Parts: sequence; structure tokens; C-alpha cells
Amino acid sequence: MMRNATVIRERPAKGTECLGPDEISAAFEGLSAEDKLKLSAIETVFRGGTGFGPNELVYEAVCRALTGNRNCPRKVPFMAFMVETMRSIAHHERSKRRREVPLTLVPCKGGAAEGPPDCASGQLSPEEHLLERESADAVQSIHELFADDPEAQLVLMGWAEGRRGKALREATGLDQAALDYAAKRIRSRMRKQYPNGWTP
Amino acid sequence: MTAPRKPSSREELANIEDALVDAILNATAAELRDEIKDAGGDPDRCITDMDSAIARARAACARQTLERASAELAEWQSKNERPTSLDRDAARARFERMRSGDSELASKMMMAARKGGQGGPSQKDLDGVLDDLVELERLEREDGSG
Repeated sequence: MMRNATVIRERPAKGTECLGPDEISAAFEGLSAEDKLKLSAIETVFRGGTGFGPNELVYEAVCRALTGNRNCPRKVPFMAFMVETMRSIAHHERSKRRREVPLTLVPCKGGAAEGPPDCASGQLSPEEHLLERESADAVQSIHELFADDPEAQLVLMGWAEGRRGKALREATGLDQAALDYAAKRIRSRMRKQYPNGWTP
Repeated sequence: MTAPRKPSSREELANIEDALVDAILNATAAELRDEIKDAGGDPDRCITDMDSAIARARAACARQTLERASAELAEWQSKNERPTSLDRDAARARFERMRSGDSELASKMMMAARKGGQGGPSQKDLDGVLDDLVELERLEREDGSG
């Protein structure tokens, strides 16, 4: 069992000591029932918009680990490595699928086309503009899901700003027990609402 | 002092995703079981599904490793295959041409034969020379094609 695995984002730097094939294999053998429940739940978070069916993202991540396509640095908890591998695969899959779908202009209420025209600033490509708009919709949907739970909304706002721990307690005015309980409610409702993950 | 930059919507969504993943990693088994049941799922089925995904991945990777090893073996064998009788006939002809055209080589072979006292190089010696020639021709062909 593994607790408090902080999510990692970087690929191991060249020369980083990583687990060998036998150690990776042993790490899979050593996964507890609790770890497997966590992998299953986390897959649900990442799977949206990837085209992967249930359990396929985990399958793909296990394959990458066993073949050495992804390497687990020795200092990184194995579950954190699996989370990052699943996230990376899901991200690439979504990007690939997004590139395959042609951009369309969505008519606004006033009749004008609302598409990717905001790139006049030169900061966002049409694809990025679309992704930004879809992300804004997704964030709004998540907030609306907790319209009846002000504490959960506060926690979500803090999360969205990247706050955790003390920063989150200070921003929300909630103690740790209340934060943990709100996180539990968020987990539970999100799983029910998004059984196949959310997009983008 | 400047105010912290407001995250973009993509960053906000990614931050929520990160926090949610951490919340899952920090949950207890009992909490996760309750949440799965609450969403209409079966926690034991989830565990079995994970076991099955891991086992399928192991089998697929083992199969892939075996296929790669087989392909490498086949490639090695094709490069190191035993000379055919045609290869050996060609090598023998080449050897005879070399021997007849090189008086020094012919004289050395006669000397070796006298010292060996068996009327010339043994069959094993000749086979060794022919094998070397076949291999030499193969390498020359590869160089020519590369």
C-alpha cells in the first residue's frame, strides 16, 4: 500500500537511476488491493476524451513500464510513477485525437461565428483557443456540480488556483478535517458524474 | 510587488485534476470502496479488472519479447547460414583459380603436403579454406549492397 504519493510531472533526467525490468515486475506483484482501487479510480479521472475503454489506460501504462518505454526513477514511489505514466498517455492521446478533428466555427447567439478569432493577439493558436474555451466550460460544469455545497466549491476554487495544505486552509478558512471531508465529497460526486472521465 | 497571475482555464482544470488525483491517493481503502459502491460499482470487480489488465499486459509484453528474440535469431541465422553446395562449388572454383595463378601458393601447399606426409592438405584443411572463402564472398556481397 502506498499513501501520500505526490504527483510527479517530469520524465527522469538522463543518468537518473531507474528500476530494472525485474524490479518493475516485482512492483506490480506488490500492488495491494488498495493500490488497485486507486489505479482504477485515477484511470477514471484521466480516461475522458482519450478513446480508451475501461481498464485500457492502466493496461497501456503497465505495457509502457514493462517494456521500458517509461522508466521509474528509484526515488519515485511506484504509484506516483504509474499515475504520471497514465497522465502522459492520456494527454498524448487527447492531443492526437484533437489534431484529427477539424476545427469548426460555432455560431454565437447574435449570428456571428464564434471560432478561434481571438488569435489576433498572437498568443494562442486556434487549437489552443478552442482548448482554453473547452477547459473553461469544464471548470464551470464542475463548479455547478457543487452548487449546493459551498464548502466543496471553496475547496475547488482553491484547487483551481493550485492551492494545497496550509495555503488551502488559509484561503478557505477550513480546518484540515473539513478539507478532507470536502475532498471526499468531491471525489465521490465526481466519480458518479464523470464515470468515464471528463474532457478536455 | 505584482499580483500573482490568474491561471488560464487549462491550468485551472489541470490543477483540479492534480488535486483530485492526490485526494484519491490519500483516500483509505474503506473510503474508496464506499465511493465505488455509491457510484453503483463493485470494488472487488475493480480489483479483479486491474489484476486482469496487469496480467494481459504482462502476457502481451512477454509475447512481444519472444517475437523480437525470434526475429533477431532468424536474422542472425540468415547471416550465418551454412554454405550451400552451390556456394561451396563457386568457392572451390575460385580457390582452384587462385592456386593455379599463384605459383608461390602452389609451392607452399606442396611443401605442406611433404611435411604432413599425406600427399597434400587434408580434407578438413580444404573445407576450412572453402568455408572462409564462402564467408569472404558473403561479406563482399554485403559491402557491395550496402
